[in-house]
Amino acid sequence: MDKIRVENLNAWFGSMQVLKNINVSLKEKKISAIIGPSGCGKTTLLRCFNRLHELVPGARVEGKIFLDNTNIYEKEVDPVMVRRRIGMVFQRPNLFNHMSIYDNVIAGYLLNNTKLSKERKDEIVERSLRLAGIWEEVKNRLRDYPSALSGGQQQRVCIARALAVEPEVLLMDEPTSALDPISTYRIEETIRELKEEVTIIIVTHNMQQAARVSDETIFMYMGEIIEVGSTSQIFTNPKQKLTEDYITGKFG
Amino acid sequence: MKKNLGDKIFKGIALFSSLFVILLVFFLFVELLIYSFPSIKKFGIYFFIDKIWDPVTERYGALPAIYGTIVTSILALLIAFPLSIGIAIFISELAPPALKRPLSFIIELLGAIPSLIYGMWGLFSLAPLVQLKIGPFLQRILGFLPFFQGYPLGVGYLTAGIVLSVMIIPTISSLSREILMAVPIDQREAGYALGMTKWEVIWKIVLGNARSGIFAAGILGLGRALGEAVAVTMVIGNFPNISVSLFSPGVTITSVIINEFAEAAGQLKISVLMELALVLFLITFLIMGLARYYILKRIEGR
Amino acid sequence: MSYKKRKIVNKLMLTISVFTFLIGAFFLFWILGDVFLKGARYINWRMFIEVPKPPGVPGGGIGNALVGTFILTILASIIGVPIGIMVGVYVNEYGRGKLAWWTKFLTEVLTSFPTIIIGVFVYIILVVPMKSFSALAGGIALGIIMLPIIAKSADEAIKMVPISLREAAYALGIPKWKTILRVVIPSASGGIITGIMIGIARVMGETAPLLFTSLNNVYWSVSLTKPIGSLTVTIFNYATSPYDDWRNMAYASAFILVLLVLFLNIIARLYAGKRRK
Repeated sequence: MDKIRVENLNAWFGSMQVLKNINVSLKEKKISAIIGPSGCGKTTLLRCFNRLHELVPGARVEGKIFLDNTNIYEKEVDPVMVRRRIGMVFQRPNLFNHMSIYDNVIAGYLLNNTKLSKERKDEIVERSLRLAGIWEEVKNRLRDYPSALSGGQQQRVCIARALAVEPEVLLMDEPTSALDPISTYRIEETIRELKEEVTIIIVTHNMQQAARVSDETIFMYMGEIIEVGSTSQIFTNPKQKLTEDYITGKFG
Repeated sequence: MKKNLGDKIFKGIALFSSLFVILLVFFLFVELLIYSFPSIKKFGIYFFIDKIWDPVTERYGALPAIYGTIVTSILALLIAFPLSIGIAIFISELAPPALKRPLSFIIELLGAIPSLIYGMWGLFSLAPLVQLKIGPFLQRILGFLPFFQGYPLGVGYLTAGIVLSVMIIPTISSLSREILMAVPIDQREAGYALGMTKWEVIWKIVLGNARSGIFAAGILGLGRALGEAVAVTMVIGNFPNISVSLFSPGVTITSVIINEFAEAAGQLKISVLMELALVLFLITFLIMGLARYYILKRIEGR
Repeated sequence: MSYKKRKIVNKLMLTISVFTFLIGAFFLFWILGDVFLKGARYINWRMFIEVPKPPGVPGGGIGNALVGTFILTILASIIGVPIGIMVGVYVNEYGRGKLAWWTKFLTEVLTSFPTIIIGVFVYIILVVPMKSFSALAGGIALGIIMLPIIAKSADEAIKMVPISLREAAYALGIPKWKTILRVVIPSASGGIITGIMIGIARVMGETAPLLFTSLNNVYWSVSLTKPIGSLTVTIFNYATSPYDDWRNMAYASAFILVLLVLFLNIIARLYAGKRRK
């Protein structure tokens, strides 16, 4: 089943076109990796899925992205509502420094003034932190501020924060690029476990990572999609010369 | 849809706040203009060239006030500008990094002292000193100049100028310091590599790079001096007078507004004071505007 | 110029630069020392609870003036703080065009504008129609003076809040206004609070605008529609009087004013320094 379908998507920063006629489908409850050299537009594509791209001054998007058959770029669609269904984890951990770890996890509710009982909140916090694989490490310091955590721990709390609002899709923008190998390993573990829960789209410049965690791989180059296929096919038997050159390290 | 409403309201409040600032300045000008109208109508251009101030015959000339404002401010700038540049150089180029912040705080505290306190210091501590020591001393060595003739009373242009100079030191020096510190290190290193001494690097390269910014800082200091009210009123002597001697008492635009307002009764006199305020508005707006415009452009250009 | 001469010039000029700083510092200590030495010895506890007395009559105080300054400062903050913060929000989060530029520019101009003009302006728009000097007019004048100070610090603090924090909130489906109110402003609160403290210190020391708005009142008053006493105007009247005991009272009161202002500035500086780390 396709969770997301992109049709004729183009995106610009000012006068520079960064996405050119993108058409692609992403399967539900699978992990899709978007790979490609830096500047190929992979992060922009990811940020189009939750309509974050258009917030950058001068940025513009044209085309359609269907989430379960609803075009999220339809006029009457509120981007805020789209973002509640599609969570995101960023390149660098960006927890709210003025809020405790506990409050950060339920920030999606808290900042929206959604009223929840104490039990329900505790439940959400524990469930999300467990899903993100960091419950054991932080359960005794939930009232601490994020600065007390390491970068890897913070990033996993960011994942918990995104999961707490029970999104249908989770976008991950190079989630381990700022982390050490051990934290990276643990987050990859978490990502694989999350497959049961949500559809995941991960942008990475690390090809081994894509090979390790993803089911499907999308290779992009200069704002265009060059090849889409199952991860094993892309990495063992790429159809395009460009894909082969990239995964064998001839450029990138 | 309800969510969009929240965004609209919030943006509306933010927009209102911005418009508030813009309209505030606009109405400041318009109201002052309306209220000065009777005075403008009656005196016209003579307001600026008449030096007689006589409430009994309702003849009001602003020349002594304008003269006093300009003399005291320029004097303040002459004293404060070199001192402030020296201070900025000291903090930005000479002081050890760990001491830069505490040292600049000392100078910034000068700017935090209320002008009333400056006025008291000027009136009770500085004025007697000017009368008994500084005045006679200047007379002895520079008495041949017209600026230093006559008998020092204590209060007057000189004292007001000194008080103002101390008040504008923090304005000029902290801005200059920021500008000096923004000059890239490699510019300095290029100078040292050519065998220049530290002072030569500071004077020819750092100040050379920063010269227009420092000029703006000086203009800003001048603007502050022009608009200063209470401290000047306390030490200027309040005598409507135009004198080349810096020892003699005088008036400034602000001191006239403060002193005459207290006993102002007639419509015309109020209008005259409003016209003085309007003149001050226009002068300071022009000067501050130029300096700020320049600084803002510079910051954005970076 | 010979090398030796250049060395001498170098030494000389660097020494002069050190001296200019010492001169600046000397003025600070002279002015503060003056107030402390002349004021501290006339401080007594009764002056905090008494109102001014005629010259020659022993006692008398600044109780009403302290209350007045407090009320005026609160009024000023009610106006200056929220509008100032929202100006900072507008120029960073919404404005990109001409309007934002003009707002920024005029805020900068207002920051160093002669406060006497603000006083005269409020006199025209408020005191004249109300036919009376009032605490309200004084508070509004001080609020207008405070506004650009808050706006500038809010602008600078909000600018420092990383985009990534805003995006984190957007990605959670938080609308923009809630993101600003609950993520951006709290994250910028350090700089904003510093600005508020500086702003309060600044308006507490203002005299000129009050002479045209709240005027003075030698009796206890908390009414917003009547003239009200203030620390600065009281000191101004005392200091410019010909009576020795009033001048002494002026110094004692000035001592208190300076302590308040210095205290606020030092706290603000320490707070800002702590946040920086």
